[in-house]
This record gives sequence, C-alpha cells and structure tokens, in this order.
Amino acid sequence: MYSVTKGKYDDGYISYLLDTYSDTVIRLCFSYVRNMHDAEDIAQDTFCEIIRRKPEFNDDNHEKAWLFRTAVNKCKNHLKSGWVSKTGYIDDGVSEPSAEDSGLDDTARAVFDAVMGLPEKYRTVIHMYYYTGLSIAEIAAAKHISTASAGTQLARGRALLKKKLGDDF
Amino acid sequence: MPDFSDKYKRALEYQEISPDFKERTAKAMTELLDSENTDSLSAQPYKRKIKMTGMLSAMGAAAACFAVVVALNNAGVFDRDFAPAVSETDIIVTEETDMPEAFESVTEAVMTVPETAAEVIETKAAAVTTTFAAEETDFEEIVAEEKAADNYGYTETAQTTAVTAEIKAGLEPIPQTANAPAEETHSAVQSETAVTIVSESTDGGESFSLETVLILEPYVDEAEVFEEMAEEEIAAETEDEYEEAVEEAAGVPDPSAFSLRRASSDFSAQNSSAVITPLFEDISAEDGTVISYEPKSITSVTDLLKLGDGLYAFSAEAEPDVTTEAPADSRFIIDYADRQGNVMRIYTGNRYICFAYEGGYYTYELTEKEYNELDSFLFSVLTE
Repeated sequence: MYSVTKGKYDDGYISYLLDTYSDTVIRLCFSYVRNMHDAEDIAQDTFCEIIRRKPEFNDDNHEKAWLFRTAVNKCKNHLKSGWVSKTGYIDDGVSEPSAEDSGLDDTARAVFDAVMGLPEKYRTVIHMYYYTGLSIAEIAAAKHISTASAGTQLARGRALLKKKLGDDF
Repeated sequence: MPDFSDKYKRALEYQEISPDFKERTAKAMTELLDSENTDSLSAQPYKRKIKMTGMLSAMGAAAACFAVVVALNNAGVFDRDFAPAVSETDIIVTEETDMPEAFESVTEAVMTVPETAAEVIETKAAAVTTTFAAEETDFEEIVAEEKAADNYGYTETAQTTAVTAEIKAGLEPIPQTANAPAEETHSAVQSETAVTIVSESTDGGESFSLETVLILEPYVDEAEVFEEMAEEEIAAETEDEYEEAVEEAAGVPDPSAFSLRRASSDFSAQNSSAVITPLFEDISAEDGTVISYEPKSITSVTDLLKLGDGLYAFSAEAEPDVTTEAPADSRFIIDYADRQGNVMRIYTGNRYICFAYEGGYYTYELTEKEYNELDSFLFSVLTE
C-alpha cells in the first residue's frame, strides 16, 4: 500500500525520494549521456521537476515510472540541445572506469566498454533491463515506444553485445 | 546472463557519484518548495483580483451580446417576413424575360429533368457523336478526350437534378443568339457546379454547344495524405523512434499478440508428429571420434505427450523477446506438424527456447535448471 505521507511534499518526502531513487536515476541518465557530470545535473533537474509539478502518485510503481520517464525526457532534450548535438562530448576520460585504480577486472571493464559503445537506443534498453531491472513493458513506457519496439531493441542490443563480447555475454 | 548483469553493475558502480549530490539536490528541492509556497501565498490577493476581473469581463461580454440581439430583433431581422432589398435572383429573372423566343425553348429544356440517369448519358453520347461528325477539328478532339475520360463522372453527376438539367441543356443544338443569355443563366448555379460552354458554328449557321460540367466535391489529394503521414512521423521525438515504427509497420510481430497456449493448441498428440533435429556433434571420450546424431521422428502419442510436456514445462508467464530472425546458435530444432497442415518450429539453445510462429520468432529465457532439464530430455529422446 502506498503511504499517504510519501505524497506529501515536505523535507521527509524529499529525503525519501533521494535515498530511494537518486542512484538509479543518475545511472539511468548516465546510460543516455555517458557523462557523469551531465547525468547528475539532469537527475537533479528531474527531482526538482517533481517539486514543480507535484504529481499525485497511486503507488510506488507509479512514482518510479514517473521519475524514469521524466529523466528519459530530460536526457533526450539534453542530447537534442544545440551544444551537445553540434559538438558532442569531449572524451576526457572522466567517465571511464580505470581498471588499475579501482581494481575493476578486465572482463567487467570490457562489458562496460561494450555497453557504452552501443548505439543509444540499444544501450539504454540494455541498461534498463540489466541494471535497473525494468520489464520490457516498463522500458517501453519509460522510452515512449511500443512494447514490440522495446523487445526488438533489447534483442538487437543483446545480439550486438554477443558479437562484441563472445563468451563473456 | 547473470554474470553479464553482475559485471555491468559492478563496472557501472565504479562511476562515482558526487558525494554531495543528495545534499545539493535536497537543498535545491527545499528551496524550490519554499519559494513555491511563498509564491502561492503572496499570489492569493492577485489571483482573487484576476478572478474578479475575469468575471466582470464575462458579464460585460454577455450584456453586450444581449444588447446586439435585442437591437437586431427590433430591426426585424429575426422576423419571417424580413426580406433583403434586392437579390441577384431578381436581376437574372428580369433578364430572362428579355430572352429571344428561341432561348425560351432552351430554358424549358433546362427545366426538364430526365427520368433516369441512363437516359441522360445516352442523350449526351448521341449529341457528342453528332458534333464530331459535323466538324473534325483539333479542338473538338481534345473535348472528346475530356468527355471520354470523364464518362464515369457523368454517371454520378446524372443523379443530381440540377446538374443533370445543365448537361441536357448543353447537349441540345441551340441558335447562336441564345448563347449569351444562356451563359448568364448557368452562372446562377456556379456555386455548386462550374460550367464551361464550348460552341462552334457550322457552314449552315447552326451551332452545337458542348458543356463540361465540373462538380465541386471534396477532393482528397494523395500527396497531402502522404504529407500528413510524414508530419506525424516527424512529430516522433527522435528518428530512432521513427525507424522503430517503420520496423513495426514492416511486420515485426508484437510479443503480446503471441500466446504459447494458442500456438500449441493446434498440435494435439493424437493428430501431430514431430521431428527432432540435433545441430551439434559430440566427440567420443573413448576414442576421440566424432559422433553425429540423426534427426528423429516422433509419431507415437505417448512420446508426443512427453515431448509436449518437456517443451512447455517452463514458465511462459514471461513476455517473449520477438525478432524476425531465427536464432543462429541452436542445439535442437523441433518441427511440429499436424494433419491439418499446421506447422511450428521450435529452437532450443543455451538458456532459451524460441517458437517460430506466423512469421515471428518468440524467444523465452530459461533458467539454468529449466534449460538443463529440457536439453537432457531432448537428448534422451534422440538417443532412445
């Protein structure tokens, strides 16, 4: 049962939102923009949007779906913005995980590189499915596409990853 | 697959989020919340004022409308006997009274409505033939082509009384002197039809007149329809979504439209058979020779029931992934066929089972346990 107090817009609700969703929303944004600084900015804007709009949620799933959908919209707008679409990102290595420094093993690094190297539509679906744990229907709702398209994108993303990673996938 | 998921999660979580993100965002959200609360409180008097102004404006507009209606009513606009000073119809009627006698006969013909559409068409065709026999000029050949092309259009036109009368009048041989007033008469119906009169004189001084009656009907331009479709496509948020929409339109099946229960209901054990085709080879542990397996056909009801139980033992509650291409790394292919001609191909491979059905490939992921059970079952059937 969805708690009524969750829908009350106060400091407690803000803390609850950030504790519950901040990591997921930031990483969802990261899967789109592939830059942690921008991902954080977009995530912050997403959380502020909930204060501006004050939507009434029916349950946790509704709340989560609203946040993901808003985050996806903001990511798309960001990617379509003049600066990003004309210049692209400068690959300064900030967002690259460093295997030496972090102790990240080579296969995990290869998996990360392979996913980040996918085209946006496949990358985001793979991220939502394997990291966020969304179902195909939830992915379709978040990305404003049909369930069939989401399923197709997931299958194609997997095929591309299999080609890149071989037995690691 | 879980390995992949774990590795990806691990790699992604090495992307460090700023430690103060929550603090910054909470501060921004709190400030936003406070400012909105303050704005809503301070805005209340203004809102009340705006509401009052709006109500007064609406009342003023309603009063003005009422005053206009009363003024028009007093002027007699709403009376049934009210008539405008001069109408165009009156002028045309006056001119008709000055027409020569010869044109009066034409006017009578205009007022005569043929009983059937077929009669009109026959009359028109006869008149056209007469005209072309009298004069074989390039101009009339063009007219003849237009008439021939619009033949079907006239069939429809004849169903409308007013337009039918126009056609008939145009097909009658009329004296030269009647042309001018006749055109004026026709102009009265131009709001519904566009009339073109073509007349040619013969050596005998007699003229024939042809009319092209164009009916102004709503016209749907195919190019516009295409443009509307294109606009809808452009309205899609990204080109990628459009590409996906095209792929869907091209026939990528909807996974929700696939029902495993429905698909398998065509293949009852009593009426179907199955062929299991292995796509792998083993190497003998004893002498290292390659062992290949032959496809095995199953026809007995008992074996088919076992096969069915084995294939559908997994949970089909999950939504399948749908593709238009068969999996390339299958270990077994099972071909079901029944006496009614229904066929279905099933692929099994590493942790999946794929049903090829009505042009789509519906793939379900299997747990390790489900896959091992299925694979060992198929292998046992193959080697029995």
